Amino acid sequence: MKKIILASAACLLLASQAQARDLGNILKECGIGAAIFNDNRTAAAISNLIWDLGTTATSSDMSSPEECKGSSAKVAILIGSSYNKLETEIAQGNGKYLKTLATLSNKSTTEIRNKFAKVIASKDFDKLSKEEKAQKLYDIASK
Amino acid sequence: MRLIIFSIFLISSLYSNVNLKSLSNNKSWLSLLHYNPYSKTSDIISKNFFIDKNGNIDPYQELNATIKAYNNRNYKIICNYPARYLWLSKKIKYINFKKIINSCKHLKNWRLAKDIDSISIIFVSGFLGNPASTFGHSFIKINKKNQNSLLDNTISFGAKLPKKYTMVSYIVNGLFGGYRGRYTDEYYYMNDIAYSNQDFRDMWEYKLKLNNFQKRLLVYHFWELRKSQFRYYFLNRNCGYRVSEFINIISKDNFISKSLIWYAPIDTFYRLDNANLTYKVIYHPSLEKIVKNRYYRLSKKNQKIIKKFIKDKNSSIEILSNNTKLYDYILDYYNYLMENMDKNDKDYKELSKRKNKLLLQRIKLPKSKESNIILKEKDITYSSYPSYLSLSFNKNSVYLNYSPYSNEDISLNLLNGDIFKVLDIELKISKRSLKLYRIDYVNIRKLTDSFDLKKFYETYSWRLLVSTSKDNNRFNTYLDAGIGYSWKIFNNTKLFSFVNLYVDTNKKIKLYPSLGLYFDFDKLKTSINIYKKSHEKIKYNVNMQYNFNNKEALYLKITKDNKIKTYIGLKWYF
Repeated sequence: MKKIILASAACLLLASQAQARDLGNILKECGIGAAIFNDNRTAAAISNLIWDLGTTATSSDMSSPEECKGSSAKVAILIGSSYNKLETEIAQGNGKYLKTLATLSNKSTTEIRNKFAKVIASKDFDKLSKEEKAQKLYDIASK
Repeated sequence: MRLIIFSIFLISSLYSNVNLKSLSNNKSWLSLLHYNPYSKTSDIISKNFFIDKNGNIDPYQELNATIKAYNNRNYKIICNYPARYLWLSKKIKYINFKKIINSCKHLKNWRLAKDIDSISIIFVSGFLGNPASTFGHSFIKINKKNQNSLLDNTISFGAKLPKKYTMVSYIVNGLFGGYRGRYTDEYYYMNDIAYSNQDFRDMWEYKLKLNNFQKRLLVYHFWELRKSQFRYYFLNRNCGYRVSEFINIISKDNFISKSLIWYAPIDTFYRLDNANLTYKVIYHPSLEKIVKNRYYRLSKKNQKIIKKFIKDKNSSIEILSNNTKLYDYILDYYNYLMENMDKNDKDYKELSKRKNKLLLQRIKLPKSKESNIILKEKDITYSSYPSYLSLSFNKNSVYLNYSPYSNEDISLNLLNGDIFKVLDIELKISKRSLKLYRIDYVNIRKLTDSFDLKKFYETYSWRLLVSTSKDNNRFNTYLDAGIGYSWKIFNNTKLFSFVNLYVDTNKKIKLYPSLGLYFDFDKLKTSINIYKKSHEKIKYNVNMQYNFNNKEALYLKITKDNKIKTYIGLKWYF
């Protein structure tokens, strides 16, 4: 019996580790890359002339690789593209980006807000880069 | 054997009554092939888009090949062209579209085609920060049922840029078809972030009046185009033209006529109005507009507190007294400020720290309620059409003007006194001669209203004029640019002042001041400009225009140079 419990616990641990993917890697796989955190205008890759980001992740699952089709990838892309808006709307407790994140991650806005409050209250929040903050938000939304 | 003969006979008789030659010239069929009405070939340069080897130049052969593939049950081809077969199923009885869709697994599972509520075309206002965006942009939005609109899919057409390029190659390739163009799709939030939150551009969403067949036809056509490429031409085969090509598939009117030389993205929207294809227009203001508008809606007391907090870096968050309205406003304002700041900037880092303190406190306070404030703005088609022709008279001469793209301060538009004109040609007609009198290559004026929260130098106005004109019977080319400030002194009145630099090809350089007034009474607009160059007398020009509608106007111009001259004229916008 003990062996079964231990084996199950190991499986659960492995499964949760498999799900907790790195946000930066997902964005890279979907052709967006970590540049989105450094360059304010990376998300403005649209306009009349499209910046060449390699394989541009598409929303309709047409030309994106397999890694970009799941719901966790969609959460990652939303967070990567709109972190500033999300951070503000989570603090405010309302907003269309927060609602969209809640829909994609299948969580309530209250749950996301409560968990992210702990991230903001942490001692090192000020020192975190935008990418690191986004990773923490992704960890909350994707678990 | 009898069954085969009977089937052939049945199929022949079913579509023998359909004139295939005539069908191949149908506007919808030609639009599905992206057939260029001027070159008589398809604009699609990907060979694998066409079934017939001559399909790009022969729509009749392509139609035959499409029907043949159906008759041969070639599902590899059939599943690649659902829009063609959907359209053909209304023209040729035996083509069973339901059977096709059930056999095409990938098409059936394609997310974009599911749960479509409506389709919109969105116009994005012009942006001087990117030369390719100066005339605006447009894209298609597929609105889904029961879904957060940020997750709706959008379809855009644009050019694929290389990783590195120079400004010269950018302009040359953009103008002369050096770039490949293609359609892409993404979530609407990507457009919202880029246009509204980073470029600070307004958007107008035109929801189309379409039945289910038309919606499916458009979406399935995007499936057909997913790997196709075009040549991108900035002037006339751009995003606006390609959006209109989509609408051309289902519209009775021709949306791509008069597009030989120039097609502005806004053209699509005038045509939508004329074709009565829109049932609702939704205005999406930019983040900048939202932030400014919300500030002026706050009470004077709250405005004072916010101003103190933002301008005094040492002021504590205690002065916000846990007022969630104040916190929410400042957080949104900081997002607006920080969007276009350099992350390595000292000011950015300071703002970031202040923002973190605000976030920490704000998240402990109750959630804010959903805002019910809706900003209103006139429809984009309220504006005068982009090109104009005018005829004006003074005591001695007649003048003929033409501009392919003109947003004037005195025409109908939403620019609040700004000017954006590209190529304004003036001819002088006197007695027996017709002579070139003036060419303005570019004429831009940006009057930025002051905003309480911004520093003086952050809200400067500017202008630029590059022109060739006749001066004492000789042509003189010059650059005249200025930087200054504008004030909204009444609801309909702006005062502006510039310090200008004038440089011409005769090596004259002059620094001079100017003062101006702009009056906007909806259909009647007036612009006055007074200036004095060194060693010259004070000069002025007054431009007054009454706009009957977005196509016709009557104007009066008074200039004082060496003499006072008065002109009266008519303008036709198209």
